[in-house]
Amino acid sequence: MKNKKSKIIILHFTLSFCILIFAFCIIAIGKVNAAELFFETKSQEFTQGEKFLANIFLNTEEESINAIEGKIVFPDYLLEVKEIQDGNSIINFWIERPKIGQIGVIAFSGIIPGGYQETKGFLFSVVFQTKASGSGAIEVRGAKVLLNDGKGTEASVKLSSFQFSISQEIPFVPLTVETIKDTDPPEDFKPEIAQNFGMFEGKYFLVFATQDKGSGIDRYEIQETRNKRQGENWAEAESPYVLKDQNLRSYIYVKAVDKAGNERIVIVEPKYLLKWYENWWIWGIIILGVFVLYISRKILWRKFIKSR
Amino acid sequence: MVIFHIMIKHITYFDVSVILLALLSYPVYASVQEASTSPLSTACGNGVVESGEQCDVGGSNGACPATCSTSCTTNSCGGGGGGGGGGSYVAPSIITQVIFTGRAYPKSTVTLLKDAQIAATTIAGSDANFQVSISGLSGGNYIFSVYGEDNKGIRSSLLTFPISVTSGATTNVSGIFISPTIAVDKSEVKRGDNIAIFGQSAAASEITISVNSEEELFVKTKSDKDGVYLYNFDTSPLETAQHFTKSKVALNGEISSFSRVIGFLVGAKNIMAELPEAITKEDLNNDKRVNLVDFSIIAYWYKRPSPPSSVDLNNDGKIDLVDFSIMAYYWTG
Repeated sequence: MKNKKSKIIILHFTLSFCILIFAFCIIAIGKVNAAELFFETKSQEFTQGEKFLANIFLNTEEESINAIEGKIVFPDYLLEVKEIQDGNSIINFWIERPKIGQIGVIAFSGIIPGGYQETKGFLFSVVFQTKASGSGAIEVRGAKVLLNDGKGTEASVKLSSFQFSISQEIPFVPLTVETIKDTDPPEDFKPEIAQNFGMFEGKYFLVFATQDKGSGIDRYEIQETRNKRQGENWAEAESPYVLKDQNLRSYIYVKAVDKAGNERIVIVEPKYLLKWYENWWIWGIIILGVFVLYISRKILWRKFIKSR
Repeated sequence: MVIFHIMIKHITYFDVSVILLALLSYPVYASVQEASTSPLSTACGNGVVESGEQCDVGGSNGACPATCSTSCTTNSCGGGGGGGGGGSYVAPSIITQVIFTGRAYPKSTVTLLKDAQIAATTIAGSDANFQVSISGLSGGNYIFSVYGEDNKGIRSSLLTFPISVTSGATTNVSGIFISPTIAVDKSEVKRGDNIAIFGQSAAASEITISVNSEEELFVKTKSDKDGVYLYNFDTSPLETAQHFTKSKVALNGEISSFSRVIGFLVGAKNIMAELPEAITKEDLNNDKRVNLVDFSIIAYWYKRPSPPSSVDLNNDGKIDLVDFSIMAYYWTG
C-alpha cells in the first residue's frame, strides 16, 4: 500500500516536472521568435527636475516588419514630456506621428515600405523631465507589428518596460540632455499634386513627406504664388494640403524645416501656366510702354515742328 | 531724321501694343513649352533614364566622382594619363555616396528608393547587371530599396537595405540579386491539368519554383537568353484548395530571395488569369504606382467610419494598420 502511494507521488512529481519543462520550452521558443520593442536610457535613477532621453527601438528578430503601432504610457505625476525626436527614425511614413498631446500617453504608428529586418531599429526618442520623487515605469501598450507579407499578418511582439526611480535630491545645477548638433537640411523630396473624388470634395491636394537625419522634421510651410519668384508669405501646412489655386496655375513652394531650423525648399511648377492676358505685370509693362511711347512721340513731334 | 519723325507720327497705339505683345510672348511661349513636358522636372536630371541618356541619378548628376554627368552621360572618373606640369590643384570635395550593384533582368528598368521615395532609376545591361548610385546624402540611417520591372511591366518585390551612411564616405552595396517576377496563366485550374508558372529573371539561370501544398513542392527550370522562364506545373498532386507559388533564381553560386507570392485555386474548372499588371488594388489613384499619394488617400480614411471599399484593402470594413501594411508590401515609390 505504502509502495503504491509513493509510486503515485513520484508519478505526479515526474508529470509536473515534464509539464514545467514543456511550458518553459514553449515560452522560450515564443520569446526567441517574437519581435521586441524596448527602451534604452543612460540611467534608471534620476534626481528631481532632471531631463533624460529615452530611446525606443524595434528588434524584428528574424521577421521582416513593415508596419508598427503602439502607445508609450508613463506616469504623468512623475514625468513630463519636453520633446520628441524622430529624426533618423526607421519609420518612413508616420500614420500617427508621436507628439506631445495626450497626458501620460504618446501614441505612434507608421510604415516601412519594403520591410525592415534588423535587431535595433530606432523609432524615436522622448525627452522626459522628472517632476516629483518616486518610482514608476514607462511602458509600451497596445503594440502591433505586422509582417511584410502582403497580408498584414500580425507578428508576436515582446514588450519591455522601463523601471525608474526619482530621488528627492534636487541638484544645484539642473541636468540637461545634450542637444543634437544638426547643420544639414531635411532630405530632398518631390511633392505631388493628386485628386481623389472621395476626399476634399474632389479638390486637388498636395502630398509631401521627407525625413531629417538629424533633429527631425519640425514643420512644413507652403506658399502658392502665380509669380515665379518666391515670396515671404509662408503658411504652415500638413500633408495632404488642399490647394488654394484649384486651377493649378500657381507655383507651389514647399519648405521643410527641421527642429534645428535648417530648411529645404522645393518647388512644384504649375500644371497650367497663366495665359499672357492673365498676368497683371504684362499689362503693366504694356501700359507703361504705351505711355512712354506717347510722351516720346509728343516731344519728338514738337522738336520736329520747331525745327521746321 | 524726317522719316523717323514721320514714322513716329503714324504709329498708332495699336501698333505699339502688337509690338510689345510680340516681344513679351516669347518667354511665355518658352515657359508653356517647358510646362508641357513635365510639371516637376526637365528630362536630364529627373532621375529617370530616358531615350538618349546613358544614366540619370537626378540631383546627384555632376562631375567626377559622380557616376553620371549633368548631361546624363556616364562619367569616366580616375585613371588615365595626362596631367603634365602646372595646372591648378582642386581640393577634393566631400562626397557622401552609396553605390548599388547587382543583377536584375536583361534590359530591365531598375528603380532605387531612398526612404520609400524614388531616388534614381537605371537600365540593366543585356547581361542583367546594373549599377545605380546616389550622392549628396547627409550622414544618417537610410532605408534603400531596389526592384526590377520585367518585359511585361510586372514588378519584383522590394529588396530592402537599411544602411547607416557616414558623411564623406562612399558605401558600396554589391551582390544584389533581384528576385524573379512571377505570374500564372490561370486563376483557377482543374485538378490534374497544368498551370503555367512564368516570369523573368537573369538569363540562362536556374529557377526554383515552390508550390505550397500539405508539403511544399519544389521544381526547377531554366530561364532563356532573355531571362524568361516558364514551367507547366501538373496539379495532380495538389488537393482542391487555394495554393501559392513563388520562385527564386540561382546563377554562378549566387541565389536570390523568393519572389512575390501568387495564389491560384485548384478546383473543378479552368479560369484564365489576367496578366498581373503594375496596377494593383493598392494603387488607389490608378497612376500605376503605389506611393505617398495612395498612402495619403488611405490615411484620410484612417479611423473614419464607412470607408470606400476601394480603400479597404483587406475588406474588413475598416481602415487600420493592416491596410497600411498591405499597401507597404506593394510599394513602388
